[in-house]
Amino acid sequence: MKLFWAILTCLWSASVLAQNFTKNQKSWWAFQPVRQPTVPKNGAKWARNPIDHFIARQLDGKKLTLAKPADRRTLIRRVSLGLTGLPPTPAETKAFLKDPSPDAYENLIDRLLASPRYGERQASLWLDLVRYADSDGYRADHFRPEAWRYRDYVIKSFNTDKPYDLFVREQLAGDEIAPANRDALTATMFLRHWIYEHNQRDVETQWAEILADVTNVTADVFLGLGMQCARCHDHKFDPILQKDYYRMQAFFAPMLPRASMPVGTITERTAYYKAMQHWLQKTDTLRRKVRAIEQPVLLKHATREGFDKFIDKIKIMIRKHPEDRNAYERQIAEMASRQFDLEQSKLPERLKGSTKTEWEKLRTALKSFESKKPKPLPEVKFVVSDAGPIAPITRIPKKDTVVQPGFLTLLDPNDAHITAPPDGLQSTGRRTALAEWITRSDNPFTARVLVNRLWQQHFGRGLATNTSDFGKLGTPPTHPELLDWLATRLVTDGWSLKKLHRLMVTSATYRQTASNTAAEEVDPANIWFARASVQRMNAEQVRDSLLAMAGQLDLNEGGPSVDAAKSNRRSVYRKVMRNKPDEVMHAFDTPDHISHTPRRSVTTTAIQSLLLMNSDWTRQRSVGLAKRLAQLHPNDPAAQIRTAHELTTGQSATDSQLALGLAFLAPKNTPILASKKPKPEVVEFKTAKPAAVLSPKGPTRSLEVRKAGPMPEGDFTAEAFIQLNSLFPDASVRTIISQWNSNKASPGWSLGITSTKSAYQPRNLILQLIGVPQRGDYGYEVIASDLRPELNNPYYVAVSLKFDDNGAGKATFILQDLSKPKAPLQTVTKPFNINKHYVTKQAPVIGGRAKTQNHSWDGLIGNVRLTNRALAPEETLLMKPAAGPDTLAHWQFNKADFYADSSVNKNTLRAVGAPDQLDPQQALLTEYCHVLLNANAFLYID
Amino acid sequence: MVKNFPANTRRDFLLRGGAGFGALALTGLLSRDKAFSANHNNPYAIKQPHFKPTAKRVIFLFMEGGPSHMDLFDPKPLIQKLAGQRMPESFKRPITAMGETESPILPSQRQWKRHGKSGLWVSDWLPYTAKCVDDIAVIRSCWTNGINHSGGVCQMNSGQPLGGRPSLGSWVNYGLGTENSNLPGFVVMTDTSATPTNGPRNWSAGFMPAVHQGVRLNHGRSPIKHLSLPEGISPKMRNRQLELLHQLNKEHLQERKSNTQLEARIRSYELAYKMQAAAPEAVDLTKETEATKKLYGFGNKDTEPFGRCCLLARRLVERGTRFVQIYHGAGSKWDSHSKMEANHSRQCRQSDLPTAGLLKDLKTRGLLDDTLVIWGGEFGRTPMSEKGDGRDHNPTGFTMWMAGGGVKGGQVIGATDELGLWATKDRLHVHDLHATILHLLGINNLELIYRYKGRPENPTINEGEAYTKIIS
Repeated sequence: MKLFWAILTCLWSASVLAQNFTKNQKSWWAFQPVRQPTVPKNGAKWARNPIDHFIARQLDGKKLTLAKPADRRTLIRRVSLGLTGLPPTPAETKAFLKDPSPDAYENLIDRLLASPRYGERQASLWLDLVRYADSDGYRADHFRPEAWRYRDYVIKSFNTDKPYDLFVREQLAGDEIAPANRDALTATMFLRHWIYEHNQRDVETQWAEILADVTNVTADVFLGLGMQCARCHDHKFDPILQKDYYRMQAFFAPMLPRASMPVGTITERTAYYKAMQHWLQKTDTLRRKVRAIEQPVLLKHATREGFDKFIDKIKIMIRKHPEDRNAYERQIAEMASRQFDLEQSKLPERLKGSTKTEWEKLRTALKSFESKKPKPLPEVKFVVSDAGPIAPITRIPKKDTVVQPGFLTLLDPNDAHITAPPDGLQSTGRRTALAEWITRSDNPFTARVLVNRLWQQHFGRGLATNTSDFGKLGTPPTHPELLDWLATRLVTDGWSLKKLHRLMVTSATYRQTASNTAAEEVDPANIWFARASVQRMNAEQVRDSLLAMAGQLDLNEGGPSVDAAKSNRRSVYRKVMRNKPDEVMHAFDTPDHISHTPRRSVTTTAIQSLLLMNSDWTRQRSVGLAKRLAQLHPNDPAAQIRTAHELTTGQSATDSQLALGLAFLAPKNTPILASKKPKPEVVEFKTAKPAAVLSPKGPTRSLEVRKAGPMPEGDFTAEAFIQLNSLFPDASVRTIISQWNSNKASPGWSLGITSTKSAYQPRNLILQLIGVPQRGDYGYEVIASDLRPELNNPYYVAVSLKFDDNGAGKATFILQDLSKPKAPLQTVTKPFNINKHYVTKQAPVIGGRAKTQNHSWDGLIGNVRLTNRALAPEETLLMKPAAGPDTLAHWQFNKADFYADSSVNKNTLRAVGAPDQLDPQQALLTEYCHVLLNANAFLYID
Repeated sequence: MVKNFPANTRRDFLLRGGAGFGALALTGLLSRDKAFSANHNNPYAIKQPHFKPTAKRVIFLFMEGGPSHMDLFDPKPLIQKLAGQRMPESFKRPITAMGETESPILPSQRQWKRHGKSGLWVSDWLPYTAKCVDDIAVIRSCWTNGINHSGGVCQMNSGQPLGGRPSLGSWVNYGLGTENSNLPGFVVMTDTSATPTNGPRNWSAGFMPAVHQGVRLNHGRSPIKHLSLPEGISPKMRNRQLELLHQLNKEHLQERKSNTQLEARIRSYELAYKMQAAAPEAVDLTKETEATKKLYGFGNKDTEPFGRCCLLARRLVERGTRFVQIYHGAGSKWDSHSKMEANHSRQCRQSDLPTAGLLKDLKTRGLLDDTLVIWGGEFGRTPMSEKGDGRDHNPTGFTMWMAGGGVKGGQVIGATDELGLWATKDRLHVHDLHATILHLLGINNLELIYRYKGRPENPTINEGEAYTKIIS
């Protein structure tokens, strides 16, 4: 009987084949078993491993020869970036250059493969394939706080060289094959990276899209098959039937996205399941009664998106008791229920009368069973399981044909053999069956696809160009035998990726230079690998290298994702927000992370150049690099240039590069940077008077006198037009003009306005006067006027000091609102203590104080005048705007002559920039570094 | 007519074509009269369309959030008659975002009049647009799949509610190239600094290279990011830097002459430099006359923000930008689930005059002949009420209009049912709308192919048929 069925099946499958597939389709290379080709003898003179023999055979056929071996500097940069995503440090390069061992290169590879940086780099490539993101996509683009655990799982898997077959199995079915293994459960997040719309009322369509996404991505990533073409019709070119698409999808049909999932051995899970079943049975009647009372009220008051917006079909599924739902109803009801919250805690107030009494009675009865409920197992979040042991039916849409899980009909027309896992898991075992088929050593796709991806990584292009489509829409491999040899080797090496990487990068083919004139003529596209392909760094390499150049790279490992713009950690740890891609990463072609990306675009755009040249983010890297160079080689431009080249390109600077650098850094060029001095901004007050724009954020923080002429020594008046934009959050002072270094033990004076936490109330016009106690003065004193100018409004302010014979005196403050034509002049006079020794040699500063970046102004200051005596009200700037005989200084900020003092004393100003202004030579070095970080020698890998 | 440009074939092309050093980037040198296939290597190069186009460029006025067609362009006497009643059973129930299928019908409070020689119906919410109806083809039978803003906006831009595909503006630039490589070929603007639903994904190049993605103009003094020199860098210093960069790159290239990527990057700095010069001029509105500004609604706080975008759009298309998209009501401001009257009164007040101003200005300058102007949102609104005085999303039937670029004005295309709920006659799905837009630009939607993962992708996902009767 068995035999009869076997024959029948054979006949049937033969007829399927005969009906559906052409000979041409059946003979397509990717559907053939992986062969074990013999290694050819070609290239015996130079080959380092079997890869080279295969390459050599094609080269011989084309009469091409391999390029020269690359020098060690080129090699270490290439392979460090290739394996770890980071350039070598100068120390690493030096050590490699000096290593006399014949295995120096192999040892280097072993070191790189053992570095945690290896897993980070490989993960960043893997995450493209699985459309990893930290957000939902769609309008709200909600953050996924758990997604990073998958990223860490991938990094860890690569770093521990987890066999690839296990890596695949865990991602597809970790919950079934290793339910007690937290990592394996986390791996199933592979099935969670689909985009998700949090308020999609068409729940069934969204679920269908999710299943399609999971089917597509699985076929793309592991099998290199463009199955999505077959979603709507038999594949036009490849032997993939529409039925096959749904046979594949059927493996995922029972899948249930879970907020959390218990972790436990089969025994633990079974015990828990049984105890829970027992409890559920015992409490069944009670719980149903409670639900009957609670549910209508809860749903009526459902928050967020609410319950009423769903169509009736969905409402029914939601209302249905969870234990009565079939797997599909459970999937849909749970998807829909993510859209609302139920306010259990408000039930006591919402239930009334006899219902409430009944409810309380039932609740009390239920409570007595609480102690019998099994203790929950530990959990992992944001993963998947099946919705139950019985899978929902999979139908081909519009045809209504029911299909069972199965593989490509061409390879195996039968339904897949599924082994149900133990009861305790409540799972179908379908995904395990799929994972096992994918990782069978005779699966024609899996190993080839992986080998080809790694080849693309190291050689710039896959042996088969379309790394995720081995079908007819892709291109057949240029070196089919090499591909098969490597695929076989991968399996015999126990699916070790590190061994495969090692094999590839230790080949002579990998170790040649990028230059081969003869080959460039004959083989411009480098199809036959007779030279290395120059590659532009990818986004991660660009960003990480820039941070590394600047000495700013933070190599902390793992943990929740970080904002790339604000963090200096490696790019693989960045938050991937689908709707808000990081600017630098995006400019260098990171994909949108919505669907599988097998190969990134490499674009060259003006926008990229603008970003690299002009953005503040890249600038900060230049500042960092220049600082590093200055510390390493103070005042030694030649050494700075040499190290800069070494760091950014891995090569020693050539004579001409050195000459170019020296010419650029010549001190005579610093004047070009004079305009690097913050360029003051001039605007006009509402009164049409010119004013300087001063801000702690720059470009101009304050203005200081370069060489001060005579300054106040006794009575004096300070006047200015001001407009203040903001206060400090603390007790710092917004300084209008000062002759003081902020040190309470140093003499001086400072006119300003108090801030938020001032002991004198905020927005108080004050004069700080500091005498010398050692000479009999009172010392630091705040004279508060209690005049309170408003923010964002123009005023005239003045203070005049009149000392008496003892050295104490009276300060007269004047304040006038300039925005109102008839605003009254406010005048206040306050006494002060003996402080006559306030005189200082400190040059005056407008909008700040000397030797500090604190206490600076934020807003406008115009028309500042210092007078060598206490002016009477009728002598103020408002009345007599010209300089008089006692004028010490008068700055008017005319556009044409912004820095000039119109008094006879010529107290010319200069602008002081935002914090961290560099000295001119350092600034020049920064600009030089900025060029190197834009150079092709940095951005491209030979 | 298959195009793609992996680096290898590009290099291949240049070497075989005998063009060496410098050729790739020099857009102008790559002859403009070659067919697509010969010219596909330079993403900026002008390409020949499939057939003679009637439109050369597009301005897409996106009313984000979903304008109510039955209160603007598609009068429905039956909703007045059934005011306050449930929708008759004879009407098929759609799935709507807020589930308002059984809510009472909300009548329109508008006054309706026929306008222009063509006598097209326009409500009193759009008095200025009404004056331009003879230039406008009103399409009353649009439909889409996205029932929510995200899916709707995404589909109206990229053809499908799920993301990941290139935006229409990207396809157009990919297909036709750019007439002025000193300016971005695909520009996006918003009336306020708010971000439209989905953010940059709406103007993303999807699976195409980023060179085709839309560039959003910022509000304020530097419309394109990183266009101005960093604080403290003088033009003289920058020149010196570019000179040094050029020297270093030249030396680097010496040993790698066959690598066109390197050459392209050298060129990209020249482009960036030129863009720094060209873009500020393009967006400098000081050269516009007061009369022009008035036409666009300058000087009125309601109309100026959108008017500014419309005027910028005209300046950009004049200078060769291929596709400009302006979001009015960025961030779903047209979305009127409640207080329809207040919402749409405001939205129309802001957008109506500048829209008409743009049409008139383009016409006066002779630009309307080959500039296609599109008006519409991601969907329309339901006849059923929501919250008493609002309307739910309606993806199954809504209105858009097109003008210029060869479109025959003064015509109505298609129809919705008596309630304005379902498109019934000459139904045009978003794919059909996209096919129509591409057709006007001389592109066959199914023949414009970009190979992705080995698969031939086209802008309308193997669907969509151009409504060719739209042409005069």
